[in-house]
Amino acid sequence: MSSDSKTQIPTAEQRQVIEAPEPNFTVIASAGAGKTFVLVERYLRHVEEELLQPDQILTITFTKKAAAEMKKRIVQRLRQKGLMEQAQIAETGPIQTIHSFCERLLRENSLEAGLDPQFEIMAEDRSARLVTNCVREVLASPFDDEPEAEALIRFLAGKRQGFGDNKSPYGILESAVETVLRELRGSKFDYTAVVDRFSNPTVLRQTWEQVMRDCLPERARSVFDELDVPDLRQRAQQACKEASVSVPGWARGKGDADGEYEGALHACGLVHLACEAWWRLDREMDRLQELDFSSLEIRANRLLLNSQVTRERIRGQYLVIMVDESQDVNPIQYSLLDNLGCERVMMVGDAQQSIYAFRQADVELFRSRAVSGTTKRLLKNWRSVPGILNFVDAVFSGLWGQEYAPMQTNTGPMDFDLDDDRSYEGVEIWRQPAKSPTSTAGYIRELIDEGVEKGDIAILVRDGAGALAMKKVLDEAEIANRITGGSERFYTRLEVRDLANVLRATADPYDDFALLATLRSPMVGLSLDSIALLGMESFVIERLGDFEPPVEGDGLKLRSFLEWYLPLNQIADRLSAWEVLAEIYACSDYLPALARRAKGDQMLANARKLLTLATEEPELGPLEYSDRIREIQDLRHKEGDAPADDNDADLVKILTIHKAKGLEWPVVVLPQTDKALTSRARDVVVEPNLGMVATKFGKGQGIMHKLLTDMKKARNEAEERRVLYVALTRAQRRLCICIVPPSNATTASKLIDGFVDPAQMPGIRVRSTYAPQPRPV
Amino acid sequence: MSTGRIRVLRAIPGSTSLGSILRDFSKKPEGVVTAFADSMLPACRQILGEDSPLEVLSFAEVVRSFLVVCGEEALPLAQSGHKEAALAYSVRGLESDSPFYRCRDFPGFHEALMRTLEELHLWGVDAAEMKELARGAEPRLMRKLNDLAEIDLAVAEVLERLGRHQHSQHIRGCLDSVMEVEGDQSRILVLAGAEECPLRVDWLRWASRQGIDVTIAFDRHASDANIFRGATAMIDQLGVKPGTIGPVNQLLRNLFTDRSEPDEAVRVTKVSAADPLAEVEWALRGSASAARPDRTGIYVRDLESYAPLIEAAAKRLAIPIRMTRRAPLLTNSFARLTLSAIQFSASNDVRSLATVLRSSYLRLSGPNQNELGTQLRTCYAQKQAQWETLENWAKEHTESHEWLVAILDWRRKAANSGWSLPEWFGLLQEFNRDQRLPWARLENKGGLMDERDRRALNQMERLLANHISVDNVTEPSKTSLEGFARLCERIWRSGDVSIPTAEEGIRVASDPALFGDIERIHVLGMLEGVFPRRRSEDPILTDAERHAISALRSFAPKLADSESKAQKERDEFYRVCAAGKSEIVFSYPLADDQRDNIPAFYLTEAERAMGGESRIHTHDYPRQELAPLGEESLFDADRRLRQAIEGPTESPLPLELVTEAAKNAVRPPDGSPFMPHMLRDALQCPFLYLVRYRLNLRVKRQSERWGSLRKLPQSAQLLSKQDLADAEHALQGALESELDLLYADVPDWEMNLLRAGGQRLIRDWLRREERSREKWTKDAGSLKQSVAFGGEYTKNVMPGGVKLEGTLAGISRLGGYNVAHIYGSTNADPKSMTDSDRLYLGLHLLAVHEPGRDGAIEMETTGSKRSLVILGRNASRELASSAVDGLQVVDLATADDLSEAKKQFYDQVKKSLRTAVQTIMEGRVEATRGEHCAWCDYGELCRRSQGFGEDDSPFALEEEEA
Repeated sequence: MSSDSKTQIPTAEQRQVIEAPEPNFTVIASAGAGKTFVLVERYLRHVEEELLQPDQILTITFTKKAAAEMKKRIVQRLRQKGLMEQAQIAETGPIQTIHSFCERLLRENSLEAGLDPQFEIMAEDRSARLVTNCVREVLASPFDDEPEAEALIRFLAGKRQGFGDNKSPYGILESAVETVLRELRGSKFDYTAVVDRFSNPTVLRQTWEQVMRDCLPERARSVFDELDVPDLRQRAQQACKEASVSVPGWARGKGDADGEYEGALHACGLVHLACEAWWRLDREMDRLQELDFSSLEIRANRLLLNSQVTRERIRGQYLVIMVDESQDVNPIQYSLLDNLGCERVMMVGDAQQSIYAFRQADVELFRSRAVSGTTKRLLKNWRSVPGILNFVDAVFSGLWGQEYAPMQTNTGPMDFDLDDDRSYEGVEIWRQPAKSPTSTAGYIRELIDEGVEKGDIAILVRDGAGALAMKKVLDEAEIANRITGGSERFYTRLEVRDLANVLRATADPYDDFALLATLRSPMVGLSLDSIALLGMESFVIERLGDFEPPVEGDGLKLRSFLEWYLPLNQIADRLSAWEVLAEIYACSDYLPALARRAKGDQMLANARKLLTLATEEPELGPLEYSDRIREIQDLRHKEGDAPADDNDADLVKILTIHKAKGLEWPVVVLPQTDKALTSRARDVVVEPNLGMVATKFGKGQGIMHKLLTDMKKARNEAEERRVLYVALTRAQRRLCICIVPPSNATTASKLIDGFVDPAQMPGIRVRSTYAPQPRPV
Repeated sequence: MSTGRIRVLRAIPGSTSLGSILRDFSKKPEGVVTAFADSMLPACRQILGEDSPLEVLSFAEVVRSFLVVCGEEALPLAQSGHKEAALAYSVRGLESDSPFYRCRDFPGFHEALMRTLEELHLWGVDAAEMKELARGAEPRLMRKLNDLAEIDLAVAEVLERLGRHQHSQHIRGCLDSVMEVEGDQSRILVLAGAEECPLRVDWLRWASRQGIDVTIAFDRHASDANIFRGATAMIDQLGVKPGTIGPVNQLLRNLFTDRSEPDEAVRVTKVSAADPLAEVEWALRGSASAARPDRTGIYVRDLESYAPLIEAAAKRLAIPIRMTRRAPLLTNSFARLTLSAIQFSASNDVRSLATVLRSSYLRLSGPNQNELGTQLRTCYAQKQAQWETLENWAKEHTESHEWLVAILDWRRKAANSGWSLPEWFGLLQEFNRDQRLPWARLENKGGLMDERDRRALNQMERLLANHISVDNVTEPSKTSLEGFARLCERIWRSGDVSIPTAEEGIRVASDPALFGDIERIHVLGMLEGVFPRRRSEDPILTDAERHAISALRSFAPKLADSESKAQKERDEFYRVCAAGKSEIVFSYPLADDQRDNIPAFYLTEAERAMGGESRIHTHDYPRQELAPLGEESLFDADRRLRQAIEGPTESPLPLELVTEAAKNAVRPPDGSPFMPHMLRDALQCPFLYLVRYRLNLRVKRQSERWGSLRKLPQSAQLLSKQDLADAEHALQGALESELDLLYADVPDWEMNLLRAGGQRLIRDWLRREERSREKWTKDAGSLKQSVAFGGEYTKNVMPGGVKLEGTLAGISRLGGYNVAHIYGSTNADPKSMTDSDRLYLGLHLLAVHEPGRDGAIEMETTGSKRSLVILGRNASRELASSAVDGLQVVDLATADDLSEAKKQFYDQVKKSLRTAVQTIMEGRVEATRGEHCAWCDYGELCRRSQGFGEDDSPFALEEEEA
């Protein structure tokens, strides 16, 4: 859809949203239906016809980029309409992300919130480090008064084989506690509620009984209530038997009362540890007056709940609220929006595109609002050619049945855009052996040979490993490409490790390892022979002056290194890390040395990115920053590589489907369709909507673990189907889907293949490197 | 007394207008030039020149001098540090139901409160009026105003006792006085800008009433756009019709109007770069390459975040810049070192000196650092006598450690008793100037680093003095050394310090007034959300409350609200556009490290004002253009980088030793003995062997620290302990000694975790030791502890004549087995065992094997199991595992025929042994990729780690996973 709103005339379905008389309603907008246009036009209507001021309209978007884009369009439209004063107000007005709104709410009402008005927002890596430190502090504490926690620690500490490989004996516990902490903090349950229900195994068991009861077939529930069977699994089975209903999958199998007790004990212990860490985390954030994004939401929501003054102020401030992408709102955000108490709320979203459950987004909240209130629909997709829309409609009508809202429907008496012949032109099926990115690369080569521009192609993968696999085969096929956002392993890159070492070596010349690693890196580039000889004695720094290298060229390298290194190490610990990096980039030949390497552009980009990141933490000296890099490596924080080329460069883009949300390309390729849609069971399963946690650290799987795992699997699979929908709706002209031979697991490939029948789908193009099995009749 | 004249001018901001205003005013030789904003003054001085008879003073100085002329008391003005300290003291007395109560300890709240009070003052609202207004206000506002009034009074009282006044007090003092005009004070020129401040306007009217000729210059737009509203309000307040002045160009005429009429030409360029660093580099190149670099400036809205990038880029490109930036005080290592020394003195642990030892000020060599570290641990072991022991040691080593003697002398004096804060201040000054401390010897040095330290020293003392002076006039008390250390940390942690800059170079600033007369301005960071900034309300007085106050004050000027503050964003943008006389370059980064950016809406407005996109110049620097192409490069750094980018690709360095000299050096002498784990590691990865055992390199990483706990049972001689209590005591002692060694490198939280982890391991070890003695009872009297290979029951010569060295934790007999007791981490699971694991175990089995007696290994790990490793079940004794007790018997025999199984196993061991020894003796060091890469710490040296090597694809690991 064109962004030039001036020349665009709304369609009938868009108009019914723009002009909707209802104060409070939900808009279900399919992919590519022009919802930004509709939001902007409705905003304008509020200003132009209802004479609202832009600062009375709170507009919430999902990303900063979307907020900025929305603001730009609104200001432009207001100016086009000659509403100069309003345009000026809109320039600095409340068009923002939910986090930015929470931040503003808390700053402006800091007296009520009990916060420093200049509180800081924590970057994600800092927040992750703080969480980890709190968890570690907890694990280092005695738990004499909390037998469940102590029992769990004793059960798990040292369990991980990894300790044999020099890792912490707490590895398995740390990640379990962090998982619980992360999921529960984002849920609607507050700290006290969680502590209460996990106070001991007996109390927890009562909650379990309740949850299980609610999950049983209705007829079995009353029987379940009356039974007095200690083993929960047996009790559930017996209840079903007596009620003559089939036993649900999660309740099948052999009962094990002891195992269940152990599971409850471990779950309590784990939640105790997580709550202790939660408490410490809150206290630490209070002390530092720094909030992470979760805390921002929680604090803002709490402020609205507890402070009448703030509620009244907000009600006076905002007369209309517009929320974009509201299917991705989490329970706390939802509660916050409710607590704003505004009477005129328009929520725009698409349950079919809800793909952020891992960030606690709860699509059911959007669905139930859509069901219970006034709902309008924007179905007509303006992004894709009719053939692609027909295909997507065919697949998802099949998968979702009545729930699915087709994008290619005739909404009026006559729609000339509707393709009555149901052509599927624009869709390509690429049949290939399983796990064969090479075949995908071959097909992409064919596309390019047919005249498709590389820059028009986007490959949408499911995860980082898929991106890397695609990158490798495209590199081999010499097809210029880029992973958008990089491989997210920035901090483990060799050039970043080298810089961590050089920071350490400049500030602490007696750290032999750091100094040798610096000498070995492209910073100096000494031969291994010189490194070995230098390393034979401690301390290396004291040998450098009179060292005679055995390899020609090393002497010169060493001399030019010492020229800048020696003066710098006299003062390095008096400088910030960024200053040391700046000195190194200025005085050494490091950047040109990187440029001379294969993949030098990426290394250079990463080296420059590290300098930029270091400038954001001016309080850290070189040693501290070097430690910080190591720490982040250990935490496996996902940080993208620095982009090494431009967005509009003529390259094939590789990106995850999540990153592709809200974007579009002329040609979209969907590889990696062979991944199972459901994930494997894990040791710890958390169901944030129920505030439940179950564990399986022992041998058997407890019934609660099974139940929660099944629930999670069902949710994951539903989410994966939505992810698939998002992927299929990004293409404008050509949609290329890799199909692999069917396997036992449910995969995207299997789902799509079930609806592909070239004989019945005119215009669809099939490319194949193998002969598929004949379709079953 | 005659009445002076008020003349009002409205001028387009910028140096041209300023020049003509000043020239006009200079026509008469006497008078004072002043400005509401101090940042205007340097430009005034520059334009007037040193010879000008006109005096250039800050507005506060002018007011104070007038008050003095009036014969009134005019105490020196309070610095912001005084005000902050007075305010922090004043809010302590807030009652618990005050709306401000919950925030009273936050520095950000103090800052916001100070800003709001100053604003109220400049609007003419003093404490008395606040109380008056409170009477008519709704309850919450009433409470706020009353509290504000009380705080205001308390602050004024504290400042008065400090002998300080506030600016608004001086203005009010004047307004209540009459002045006899004389000399050059009969004319003043006030550059008022557009920042509304009614009290100052009242003062200007008062001044004219005293007979002063007052000329006031306000900012204006070139045509009719409704900006600079503050100036309009002040002119209305003065009631004088203004004259207009100032040059116009097309941009200034049309900006924020709905027109794009042609006017004087100005070159407007829009530039995009890949990221902020690239943006800064291109800005510097452009400015330095301009015809008159001395008449260019770089404007940046958000100087705090851009300044380091600008400095880094300027350094690399060797482009001189002038930029005043501030940095947190404790980023200065002089300040950090001083604080560390004070904290060390206040601690009860001499080991805390370790943080100081690596400082470059001390220039301690590595051996010296180690020696001191050891000494500190020795002293710490003395517990109560630790300080005395250290003092004695330091005195014995005065020659080399004079600085330590100085610190300890100071500590002895400081810790003596409680001192008052002024006394502490004296002690601190004494400490900072003790010439025995290398970092205190600043006086005779030059250079930027010393200037930094000097400024840090001044700021440390100033911040403390501000606090102490307030404390002294409010509630003087005595404080201990610990209390003083805490105070220093609190105050210094929230302070900042200015960083010295070069005196020549391109001016970089965040205030357009600071540029003076320049031709070209480069505006960095033109991004949505940055220019204009988002609107936000004052946390102290909300918009609604401000409106209510304005309503209560009826005819007085209305207080500013968030909307009027947001409108000033346009004022600022206009001033920026007016700063460059002939060229304006706007730039923005396409992306930062988080996301893609959206250019500022104001860019679109500038385009429109110039008549459309085609009328401005645009340049987009591609991401890969890291340096100007070929001949365009003016800078050496660019030329070198460009040559490298365009030159041939270099291969990574060889991963093997190539010279005989190096091979000989790393090769142990013929016949050298080996420890079993050396051979295991050599087989696993020759590079690992080289670095660990030939170069003896250890990396200070967390994994290494956890690994160090593994040796505790051996160092505690667990095997020899007769009862559990003894064993536990010994293990606890060993743990503490181990932690003691780590003290300097480990943060507190990790130390706690290591201690807790160690104690839990100890519990497990004790339990398994007890169970093992019960279940795998050794033959009576057979246990020998710490047995070297070749000693009792053991061999040290392996197949091929390879000699083993090292010491087993113990050896014992169990039925027909000779059992080697070891503490290690080797995998004992036959299903996943590698050749290196087999070699390690096989060497032990061979070492304890004797005719008629099989070898066995009892191996304790830091995992949850103790393994008894055997090679085939010996019929003489039944050996059972016990999962509950964490005991497992591992039989390495994989064939039914026992002798065949043994043969197979030992053949493999012999083969591996041969390979390992051969690898070592041939000086082969090329790294082997494998699972060990996941934990090996030496990847940066071997450079072919599975995770991130550079010899081929760094993605190898993920590819395999994929």
